[in-house]
Amino acid sequence: MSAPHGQAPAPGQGPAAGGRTLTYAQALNEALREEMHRDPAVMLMGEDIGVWGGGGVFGVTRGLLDEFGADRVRDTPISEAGFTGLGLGAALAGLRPVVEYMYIDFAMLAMDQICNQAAKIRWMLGGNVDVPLVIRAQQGAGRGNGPQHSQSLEAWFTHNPGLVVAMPSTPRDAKGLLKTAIRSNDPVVFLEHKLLYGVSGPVPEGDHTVPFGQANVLREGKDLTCVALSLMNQKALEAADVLAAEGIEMEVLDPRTLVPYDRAAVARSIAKTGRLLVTHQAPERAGVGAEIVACALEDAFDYFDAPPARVCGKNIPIPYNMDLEAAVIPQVADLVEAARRLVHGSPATKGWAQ
Amino acid sequence: MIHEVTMPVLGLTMEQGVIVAWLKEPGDAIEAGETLFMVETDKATSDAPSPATGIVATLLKAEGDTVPVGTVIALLVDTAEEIAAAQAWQDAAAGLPAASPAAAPTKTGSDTAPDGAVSDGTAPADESPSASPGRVLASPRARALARETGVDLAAVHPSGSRITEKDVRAMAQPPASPAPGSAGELRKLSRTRKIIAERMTLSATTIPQVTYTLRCDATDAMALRRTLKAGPGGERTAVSLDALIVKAAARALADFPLVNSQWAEGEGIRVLPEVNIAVAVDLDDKGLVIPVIHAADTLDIRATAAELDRLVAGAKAGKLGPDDYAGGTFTITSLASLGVESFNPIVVPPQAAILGVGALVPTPVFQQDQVVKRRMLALSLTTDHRILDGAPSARFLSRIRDLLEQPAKLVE
Repeated sequence: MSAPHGQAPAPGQGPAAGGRTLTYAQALNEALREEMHRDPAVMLMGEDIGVWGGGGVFGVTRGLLDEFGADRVRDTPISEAGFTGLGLGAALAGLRPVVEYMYIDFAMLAMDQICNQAAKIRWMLGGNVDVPLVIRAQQGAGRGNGPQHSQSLEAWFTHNPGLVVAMPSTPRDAKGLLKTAIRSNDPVVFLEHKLLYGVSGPVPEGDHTVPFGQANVLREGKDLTCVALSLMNQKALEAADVLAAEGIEMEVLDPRTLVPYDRAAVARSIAKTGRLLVTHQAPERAGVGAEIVACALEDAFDYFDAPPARVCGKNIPIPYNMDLEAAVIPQVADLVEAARRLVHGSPATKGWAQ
Repeated sequence: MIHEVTMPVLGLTMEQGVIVAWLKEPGDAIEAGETLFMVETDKATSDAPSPATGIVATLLKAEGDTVPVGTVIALLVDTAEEIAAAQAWQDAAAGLPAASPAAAPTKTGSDTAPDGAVSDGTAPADESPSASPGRVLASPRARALARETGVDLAAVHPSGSRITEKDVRAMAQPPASPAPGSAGELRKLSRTRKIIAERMTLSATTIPQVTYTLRCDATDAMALRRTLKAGPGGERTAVSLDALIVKAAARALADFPLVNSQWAEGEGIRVLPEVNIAVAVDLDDKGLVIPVIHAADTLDIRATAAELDRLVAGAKAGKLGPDDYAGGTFTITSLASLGVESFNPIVVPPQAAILGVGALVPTPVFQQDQVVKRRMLALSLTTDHRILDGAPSARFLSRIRDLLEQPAKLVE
């Protein structure tokens, strides 16, 4: 089992000289606190974000109820469709609500509110309304939470026009992207990963924001490009350490937001390396990785020196048994193996293309 | 049944051949002996006959492929029903699973596994690294680089299952920096050009050679030519001066066996039993070929002239077989028709000597204190100094001159 619940700084994410480190959860908490101070229109809604457990299952909203009061930090009933609609209405009425689902899996209950209402209403009203709604949730596998609490649903929201989709992979980006999301006048689906909450890293103090649509090269390399989503960036950095010992320099590139998506950064990286590895925990089939590969081939076809490769979740529900779960989601060793194949020679084009 | 067609052996020294053109396509009927393809060897392009009567099932090599002799290059079958079997034979030979339409893999399968559970719906990938005939497997990056650097992908050896950037870089010459505007037109080498380049470089860089030139009075030889043309018994044979020179050289070579020899590196000098005179034939812009008059010392002047005519005409028409080009022991090259008075030919390895013939030049010559008009030509002999020193070379050359100046001896 590979749960890196680690409290140690992730590779490449050690404390900057003189800087401070926060966990990913603390960084999100700081972003919420700072934005609530900055703008009285910012308010939070969700299940057990206030009273129970002192700030959510993962402690992201810890201390905010005491600091800002129950008007701005509202515990809700177990009714995702209801409080998502409430949040949307509040956003249309001028507030900046941050709606939280305990697990992204529960977004299924609110898909009409998210995709049919929040995503479309600006377009249906000729651009005459703002929808400053943030929908936060943690997703992903690796904690033995079973098939209904371990999914990664970024592809669902990426496919549906009208939503910004953000997936921070570091504490720094967690803070910077959440602040940008709260200030955005478009609905943002903000996808955290349950195994990232404990990861520490440097986080700038004060008003640190990260723009949407700007990919981040977490590690430079010349031999292949690994485009990783969310937690898989941490795994890719570990894999890059293993590969570096073998003389393979893997560039790790985090798109940070899937909508908008920084195609140019990926194309530039492939122009340098000639090889593309895409990794996410969500199932491979029709996952965002397929979109990333397609864009890269459109943008950088002549730079490919090997077929693109995907290291993604298997196309089955996430098992509850943690050993089986580990077999279904991509691990560091899978990335290392795929990178070796890309660099040292992959099989010829699969049989049916002949 | 399936008949294998292999690259034929067309001459004793042939190791490989180039398939210039297939004259039949899969599905075509063919008779035994009918031409199936054109093959080019070092020496000539020939028709290759079908070994059997039947139907062409599959062509295993593409036009332009260089193939070692004995390699199976096509399959013939007796009946159309056997074509599929021949295909399977080909796949088996290539290490592929037998192809059948029913077994074609489908990428998107049912999500329902046999036991009713929902499964991964992706069929397993068939990773057989097989290349379609004629299609070079290369990455887009390698292709782009090949375009930029002018590398021919067909000539690049892939280090893995396909050509990658690394392979092209290994092949690409370090970029030359031509002066602006002087990039010039790059012409690919024909096979003939390549061979000439190799042989001449080998000659110039490994053979210490010296050229000796003397003048020869060809007036009487030209007169004899006219006599021969009339023919003794009414037959009319055109005997060229070249034929007389070949005859003279053959006679001289019989008398000077050391000139008819080869330098055998590390072994010694191999004196050759047959006098086979190679004659350089210009093919205009297609280069130069050197067909061989075999056992030239055994042919009389008419036979020599006839064989020379056959070889020159055949070479120009591309009709000669590989054996017509094999086995030369001495070479004669002439630029007389182009007015060149003398030049330094270089030895064709592994031969010991080459004779260059210059143009006939009407010249005032002293004869018994009288100035007379004679038709003179320069004979330039280049010899391998490892085998022949100056004096023996000069004696051999003088013998040729003497024979030409007293040509009656050549028609005895």
